[in-house]
Parts: sequence; structure tokens; C-alpha cells
Amino acid sequence: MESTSIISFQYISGTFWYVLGYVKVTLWLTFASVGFGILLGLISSVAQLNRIPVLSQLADVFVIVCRSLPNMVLLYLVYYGLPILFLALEDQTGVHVPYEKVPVSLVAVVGLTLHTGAYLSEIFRAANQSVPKGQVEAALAIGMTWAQASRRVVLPQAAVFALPLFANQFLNTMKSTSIVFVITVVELLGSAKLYVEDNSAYFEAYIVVALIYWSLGIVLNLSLND
Amino acid sequence: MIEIQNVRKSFGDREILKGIDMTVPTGSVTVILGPSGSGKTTFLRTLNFLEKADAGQMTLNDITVDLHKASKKEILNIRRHTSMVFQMYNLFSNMTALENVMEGLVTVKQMKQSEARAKAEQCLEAVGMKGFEAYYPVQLSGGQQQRVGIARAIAMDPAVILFDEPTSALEPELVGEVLGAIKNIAREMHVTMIVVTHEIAFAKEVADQVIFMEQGVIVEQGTAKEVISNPREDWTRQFLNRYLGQWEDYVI
Repeated sequence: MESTSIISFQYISGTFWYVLGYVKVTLWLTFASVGFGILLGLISSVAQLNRIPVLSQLADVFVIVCRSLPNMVLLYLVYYGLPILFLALEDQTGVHVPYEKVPVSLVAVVGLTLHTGAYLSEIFRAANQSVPKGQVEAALAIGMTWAQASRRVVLPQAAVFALPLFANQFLNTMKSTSIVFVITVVELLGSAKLYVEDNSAYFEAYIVVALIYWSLGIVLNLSLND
Repeated sequence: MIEIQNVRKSFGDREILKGIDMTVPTGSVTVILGPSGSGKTTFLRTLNFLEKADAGQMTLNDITVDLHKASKKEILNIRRHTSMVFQMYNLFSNMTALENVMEGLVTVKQMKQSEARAKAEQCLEAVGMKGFEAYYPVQLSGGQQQRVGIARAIAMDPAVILFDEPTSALEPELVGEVLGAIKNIAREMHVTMIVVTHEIAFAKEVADQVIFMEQGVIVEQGTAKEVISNPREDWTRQFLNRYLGQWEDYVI
């Protein structure tokens, strides 16, 4: 019986119950990265749009570098680079940053945030620029302050423009969490890999993983569309 | 009364305005004519600080400001006493016609919703846009959008309305309705207006004062009759011939 079937439902349910606990790691990585990414993207796009000196040049470099690098390379750079930077800092100033106590999942969040933030920065900038400048002038011309014009005229229109792109980026980040296993963070895909080491039921394990990612995607998509 | 003195502006090496002086009596209509690139629009935009002049001074009723060095507070104060109607209408796309007119009343003048609504309805009626309150800008023709733009401007009870080529972006058959609305407001509400336009017939009919600009200076100034029917300067004559000549072609 077992030798004739293509897939084993026993392994499917086995994997399912094993990896289910790691879904929350995937979700926490996603939400944390998108949350910090929003913050980073807002700061970066506002700096660029208002051409704030120094900050806007930094933002330019940040966006172009983090958008060009594959997310996995970025993760490696953060994972291996941060301790070296902190060591160098300690050498120079004697200040000891307790990086060895930082959980590795937080390092993963930093790597994912840099990637997500760069893309969100571009989305926010494009959304802002999608509102015709003439409408801002019209708002200023009737005596609105810059803040009032932004809140009443620019933001409502920019939000409509940005929302589908934001939802897209949210899903992308969720899927990107599957590569943090390379820096030893065990999340949904990582846990499945660990599980199959004992039984080599790869196909079953990845079917389960795919189905869980798929349903997460559907849930996120639905909640963002409302 | 509006007194404007010595407005200067350069973009890089190009001097756009070479010292413009102008006096506009309260309740009168001043039309500025001139070829494209003569600085008319830039001049208008320096008056409400959408463009910052390199020099100049304006007295608007009892407020005097330096057009180059005005503080944020002074700029806001001037903008709250002026309105502008734009060539490209620039209605807020996220608001209906009524909300467009109400916006300044609620956000800037902090009027109650109900009062603002009543006032906005009146203003829309004054420009012949009653019945279009719930339409969004994309649902309106250019002429209709521009009339909403005019309603938005008059709703603020400004000391002066600045019209920046209000009909230049319109198809020929829609120009009449917009000029008609401006004419009505000028005659019935006696709002002070400075109008930049190429519509010479409109200038002839409505303007109390016509100013002809060329290469950043005022070359001729006077009543409509003086400037349009009896131009003294070659510049003006050439310009008028070009435009009036065009109209003759249309007649044929």
C-alpha cells in the first residue's frame, strides 16, 4: 500500500502538525518587517520628496542599494556584517553592544525591513507624486497650510494609489520570510526542512508548506482589500 | 485697492519680470494681455506666493507685504485674502463639486458644515452649476470644471481673484460659458479681479483697465478702448493684429 501511492497522507498530516507552530514565526517576521518597513519607507520618501539635505541623499543611496540587492544577500550582509561593525565600534570607543544576546530572528527582521522599506519608500513616493501638483497649489491658494493640503487633498488620493501596491509588497515580504532559514531562523519553510530530514518525504512537506503560504496569502489579501 | 510695485523675477539667467507696477481699484477688472512668455502668469503667481518674486511689494487693502521676504504668516494671510482660478482648473479630484467649494470654507474659515454647504450651493448657482453638486471633477466637462473652480474662488470672499488664463485649456465652444460666468461675477458681485487671458473680445467688454505686457515689462496701459481700439505701441498693434486676424479667419 505505502509503496504504491505517490504521496503519503500520513506524512502530510505529520508535517502539517509539526510546521503549524512555526506559522507564527513567519507571521511575526512579516508584520514586524512590514511595520518597521512602513516607518523606514515613510522617513525615506518624505526626505526625498522634500529634498531634506543629507537625509535625502542617504535615502537615495538606501533605496537604490536595497532595491538592487537580492534579499538573501542583504540578509547575509546584515547577519555577518553587524557583529563586525559592533566589534569595530567597540575597538574604537570601548562601548560594548551586546549583539551576541540579540536573537537571530531580530537580525532577520532587520534584513527584511531594509528590503521592504526600500520598496515601500518608492511606493509612497510614487503615490505622492501621482497627485497633480496643481491641486496642492489650489489648496495653498485658498489659504490652506501645507499640512492641511497634505491631509485633505494629497493623502486621500495618494492612499488610493498606494493601497494595491502596498498589498502586493506585503505579500512579497511574507514570501521573503522563507529565506531567513539561511541565517538559521526557523520559520515555516525552515521547520519543514528540519522535519523531512528524518523521513525524506520532501514532496509531502513542500505541499503542506505551499498550502499554508497560499492560505496566508488569501487571508492577508482579503483583509487588505477591505 | 491693490498697489503692486516693482515686481522682479528671474529664472536662472532669464529675467522674466523686469519691474512691474500696477494699481487695481477695488471692484474693478484688470485684464493683462500679452504674448506667451511675456511673464503674465509668473506675475500673477508672485502675488499669492506660488512663485517667490526676487523683489516687489504689494499693498492689499490695509496689508502691505514684501513679495520677496514675506514670512510664512504673512504669506498665509495674503492667500486668505486672495483666490486663484487656474488654467488647468486644479479641482480636488477626491471631492465632489460641492465639497470642492466647501473645502476652503470648512478647513480655512472654519465655518460650520451646514453654513458652508449653503454658501457653496449659492456660489455654484452663481456660476450656473446648480444641479451638479454631487458630481466629481472627472464627470464634468472642462468648462464645468472651470466654473466650479470659479465658485471655489468666490466662496472665500477674497479681496481679489487672480485668473490665470482661465479659458486657455478649453475647447472653443466651452470658452463662452466660462467667460460668461466671470462676467456675471464681475458685474453682480463687484469682486476685484486681475485676469490674464488671450480673449481680446472679453477684455474689451469687461475690463476697466487693460495692461499689455511684453518681455517682462508693461508696454501699454489704459482703458480697454485706449489699449485695444487705439494701441499706441507697435508691440500691442502686432499682437492684436495676430489675434484679431485669427478671428477674421474664423468668420470666413
